[in-house]
Amino acid sequence: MNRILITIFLLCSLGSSFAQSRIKDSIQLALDLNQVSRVHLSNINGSITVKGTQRDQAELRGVRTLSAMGEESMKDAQADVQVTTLKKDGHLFIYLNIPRFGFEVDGEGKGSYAGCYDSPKGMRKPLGYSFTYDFVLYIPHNTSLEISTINDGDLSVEDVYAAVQAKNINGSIELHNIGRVSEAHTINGDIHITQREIPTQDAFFSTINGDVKLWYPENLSAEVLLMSRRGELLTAYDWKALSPETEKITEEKGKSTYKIHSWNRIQIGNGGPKIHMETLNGDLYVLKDK
Amino acid sequence: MFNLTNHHIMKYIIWNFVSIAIGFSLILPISSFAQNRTEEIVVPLSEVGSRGKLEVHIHRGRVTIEGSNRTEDVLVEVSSEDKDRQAQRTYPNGLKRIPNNVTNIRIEEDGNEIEIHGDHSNKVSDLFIELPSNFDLEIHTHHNGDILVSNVSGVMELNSHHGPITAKDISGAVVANTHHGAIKASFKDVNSDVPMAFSTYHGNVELKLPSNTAFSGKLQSSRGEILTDFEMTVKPDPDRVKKRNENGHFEVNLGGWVYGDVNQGGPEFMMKTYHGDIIIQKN
Repeated sequence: MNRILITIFLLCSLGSSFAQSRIKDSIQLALDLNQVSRVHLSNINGSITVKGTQRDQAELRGVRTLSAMGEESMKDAQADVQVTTLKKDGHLFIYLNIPRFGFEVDGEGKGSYAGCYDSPKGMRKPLGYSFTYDFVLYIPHNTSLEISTINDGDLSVEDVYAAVQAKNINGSIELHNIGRVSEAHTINGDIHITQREIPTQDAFFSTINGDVKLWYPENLSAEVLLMSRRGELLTAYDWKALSPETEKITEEKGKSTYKIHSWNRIQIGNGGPKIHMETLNGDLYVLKDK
Repeated sequence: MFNLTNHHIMKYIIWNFVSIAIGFSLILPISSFAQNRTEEIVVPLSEVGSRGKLEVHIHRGRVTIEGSNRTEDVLVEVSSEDKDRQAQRTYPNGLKRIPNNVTNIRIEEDGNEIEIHGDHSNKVSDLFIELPSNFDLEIHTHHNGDILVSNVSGVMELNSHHGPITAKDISGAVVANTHHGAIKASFKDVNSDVPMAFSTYHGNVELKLPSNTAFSGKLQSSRGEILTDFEMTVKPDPDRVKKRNENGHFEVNLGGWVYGDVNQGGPEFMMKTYHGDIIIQKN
């Protein structure tokens, strides 16, 4: 009997030394927006919530959750998963400086995790830990913004009166009371956007599995191009149909190609910038913000 | 008294007819107008005057081809009709439905060969094509796939699955294949040395040929009749008796084919249907 108890005790203690440990902590960071025209927040796993405020200061709050097998891995995780900021040419980039993900900034003011795509060597060894970072960002109303995440989180922005761009993969996008939105893309999730101003520039919204719902001021005037493979196209505005876009390409050796594109084109008001809306499994809505 | 009642009944019936007719004339144009969209593309030919070839590959939609006195170009009209049942629905909060019915169409021209490709979406695109009459055709459609060809002279391959195939006032040679629908072809002139084939499953195969056409028919209608006003010399099935197969067994094959020569015979015209008649007539 004693032997059995001892064996069970030993097995349990052995198990606990390899058990998954989990750490949850948080940060609070004041951001210097001096000479910054655009804030970029690039997340990997986790959500981003942004609130436009009347204050001049910007502040980032983050909740970090790490889980790892063994102490070594947890130490790696704590060292790797750090929020980093970089100011460059009027842009403030906020990202996670995990070596394997290799965050890079190009010359055109765009930042991305290049390592995700072109470093198969680094991907061979398993990371040894998993992480999520949930961010809440407070910025002055008129700060232009670009946010992105990949897994385990939604993107939501409220009361930002400047230009906003949002990219997600596995999660939804909610942008409300926004100045103007030029792009919002996800793959698995809905896109809901309320804009304060009527658009003056072309815009592009796409998802694959989800609806796209756009709310605009009542006096919207735009050309809307819609494509849904399996859903419906609905609007609260009066609209008139425009004929599909056709394109002519003349190649060398005298071969000519004509294309009729499968966008359903409509005009709202007197027409204007092109608003593209695309989904595969979902409905598309152009609605009035009241 | 009796006459008066009769008169009233007549008046009632007439008014009912009138009001129904007015009702229809009001409803029909509105519903058909709102849902149709047509796109026109004129494709110039690079070798004006010489024979052209048209290839069409679409998945859902009717193909109508008309030979005309056009010489320099081909007119392609793509129309999409909103056949969705949701079109009749009313939506809450004043929402209006936008028809979701445009497909990708790609048209290429290279040395008088025109290729039209549609995508495999669930939307229907009907094609109307007007071209010079000296054109060869290769047409493929599948769903809602009626094919109608008229006044074209050339070698034609016409393929559908859900839809009848009709060729009127054509000359040349035809291979036509569908499953749900009749095949009807009336020839002004026939290529004297090219075999032809017409096959469907549900529907008649009806040919109208010039009376001097010489051909050897190979005909099969599993559940229908074979009718002709040509003098046809029915021949025995050449494949009927096989001497011995590989197992050494003696084999007699009574296939359902009827073989017959018209005007001393010529190239083989194969006609086959399961539920339908085969009708071969003189022009």
